Amino acid sequence: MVETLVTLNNVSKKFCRRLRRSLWYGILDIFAELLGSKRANVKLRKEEFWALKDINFELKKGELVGLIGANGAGKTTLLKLMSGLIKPDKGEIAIRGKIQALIALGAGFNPILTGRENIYINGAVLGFTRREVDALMKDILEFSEMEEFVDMPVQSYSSGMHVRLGFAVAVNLKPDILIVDEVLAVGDASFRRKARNKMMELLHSGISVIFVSHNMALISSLTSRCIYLDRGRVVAIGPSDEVTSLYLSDSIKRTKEAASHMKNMWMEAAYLTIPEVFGMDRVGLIDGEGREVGEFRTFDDIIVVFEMDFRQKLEKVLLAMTIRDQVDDVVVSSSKLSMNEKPNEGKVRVECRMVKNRFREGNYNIGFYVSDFEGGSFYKSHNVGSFTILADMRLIRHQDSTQGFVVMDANWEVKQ
Amino acid sequence: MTELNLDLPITRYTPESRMRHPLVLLKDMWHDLKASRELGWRLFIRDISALYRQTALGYFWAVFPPLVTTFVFIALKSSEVFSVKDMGMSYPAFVMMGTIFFHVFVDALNAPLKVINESKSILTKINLPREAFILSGIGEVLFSFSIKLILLTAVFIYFHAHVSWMAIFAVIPLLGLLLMGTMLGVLLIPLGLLFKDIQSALTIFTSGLVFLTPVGYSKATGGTLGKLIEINPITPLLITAKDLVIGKMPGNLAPFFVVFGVTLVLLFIGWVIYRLALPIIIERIGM
Repeated sequence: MVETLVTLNNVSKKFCRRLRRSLWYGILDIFAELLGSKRANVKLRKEEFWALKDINFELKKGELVGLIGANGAGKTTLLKLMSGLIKPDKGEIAIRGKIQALIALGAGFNPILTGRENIYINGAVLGFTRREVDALMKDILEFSEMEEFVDMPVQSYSSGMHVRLGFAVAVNLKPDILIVDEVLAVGDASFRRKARNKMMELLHSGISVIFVSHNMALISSLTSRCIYLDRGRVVAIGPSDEVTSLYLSDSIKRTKEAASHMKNMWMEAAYLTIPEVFGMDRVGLIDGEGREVGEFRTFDDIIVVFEMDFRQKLEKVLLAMTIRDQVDDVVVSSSKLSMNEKPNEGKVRVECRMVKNRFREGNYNIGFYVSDFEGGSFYKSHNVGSFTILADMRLIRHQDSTQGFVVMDANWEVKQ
Repeated sequence: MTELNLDLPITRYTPESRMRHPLVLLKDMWHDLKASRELGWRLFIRDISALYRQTALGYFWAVFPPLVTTFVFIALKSSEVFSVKDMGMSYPAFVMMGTIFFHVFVDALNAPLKVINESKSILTKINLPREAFILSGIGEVLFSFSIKLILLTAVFIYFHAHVSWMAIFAVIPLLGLLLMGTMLGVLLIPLGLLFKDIQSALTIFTSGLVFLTPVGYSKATGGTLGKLIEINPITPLLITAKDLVIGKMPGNLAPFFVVFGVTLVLLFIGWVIYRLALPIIIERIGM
């Protein structure tokens, strides 16, 4: 049977929204504490809210667990509770062993002092004697690649060096439980790789790690189990593949709601129209089977249908379409030129088939522009319609790459 | 919850007050105090190195306040704002000694809150033995005192002031001043963390406090001022220290022992409050 190192039983934590009231509650709570209050049935006072509610969780030895959730979901609060920094308002937390919390790197660093002096301080802050730190100094310097700079004042370090040093100290002092909070997102690629490898090494030596990140590919590739928090509550605890998929589809829904709200505000109407010449009747999306849908998967065919009305006959027509992502970058574009042929007069239905699309999961907007190829524009809109590419975790992990604007359909073959 | 026999210690965090388990509380306090020595020393070294590396005047800052106070008193005396009985030694040396001893109290009083305020970022991010901050504060007081002692020695030599062998025992009342200042400083920490003006109010208060102590005058001052000086708890400690240095047998030692005893008790109580209050404050002052 694998040992349990951390157990959370029905843990809840409340905070107060207003600072002054919070400080006042602080004074009241101090008195309650000094008078030996049992605090058996804690309720919400005015302006208070549950930052975490009814969290139940067990962390086993040698386990790497992911912790995901939107900003403000309560992840950092949960970590602070687990490291004993703050007390729960309900429930119980039991910890076997020593927790090293990487909630802040370079804690206790004084910029005037040198890196070496700060290593001793950081070590002492994390509970190690000078002798213990001395024994590990070589490893720390090697890991952080800071041998050259360690005797310079920390204020002359770049932020990457800060991270390297802080991480090297925390990770070389072997805790029973390591909490890694967004740390691996900072630093350059080679450091991130080193940090990841070090974490795997620690795992194999039986250390448990709680890993907080917004990078779903990293979470599902590194961790076996994952906790998904939303507004202080546990949405799911389970195998990382499933939980990260759930999180991604939830966040797409969330951005879609936010985006559609924004869409109504500024981009609905085309920003240039010449109604005497051209009018857009309808834009729709269909899939490979001709069904009208709004969601697709990567590598599906996506067909955009434009029903337009040329109210004047034109000799040259240039139709241009752009696909923009959530931050308004153009991902791909395509155009069609017609000279003295359709579409150039009357009511026309034009379909643009994006064959085996290469889009990553997310929401996309379709831009459409009509001109006569001589500088005269008749219709311009950044947003005639939109569609969603659904998350497919198996796909993403198979590709093992979250970089790039688009997905690539690549074949790997072993020759010989 | 799986129960397995491991040799790792289990820590439990629950909402209830830790006062309900006083023995556990005492054990934790003792454990943390021991763990704080190393960290306290490191923090002390850190703050001293940083401070003196960064300022133009460096170590001179330690002697600046007593110099100023001494000059103020000398100026006041020579313009006869008050009259002083002959104390059997040169006045400047007398005042300097009193000021420096008094500053042990003042520095000790200001230190806890100052150190805690400077360390807010560590406090809100890492769970560590918090006694270390108090210890490092005490270290800074002692360091500053030893620099002032150099100044005092120089002044004594210059003014041919006589130091008796009994001066060694002055360590005890000085320790009392240190502990009393620390005790008050620690008691102020919870409020001082929640409300920013406490630290500055403290500085203003202590700068005026010297006039309510027998630093510049002898004990036998009359009137309201004399009464206030008499009931001031700093007075017995200060007088005893000075007496021991100049070789005078201390008079009535009863107030001295009372003050010392009460200080120790209140120091312990302050420590308990500090321990219990800090997690509650930390969650409210920064994320």
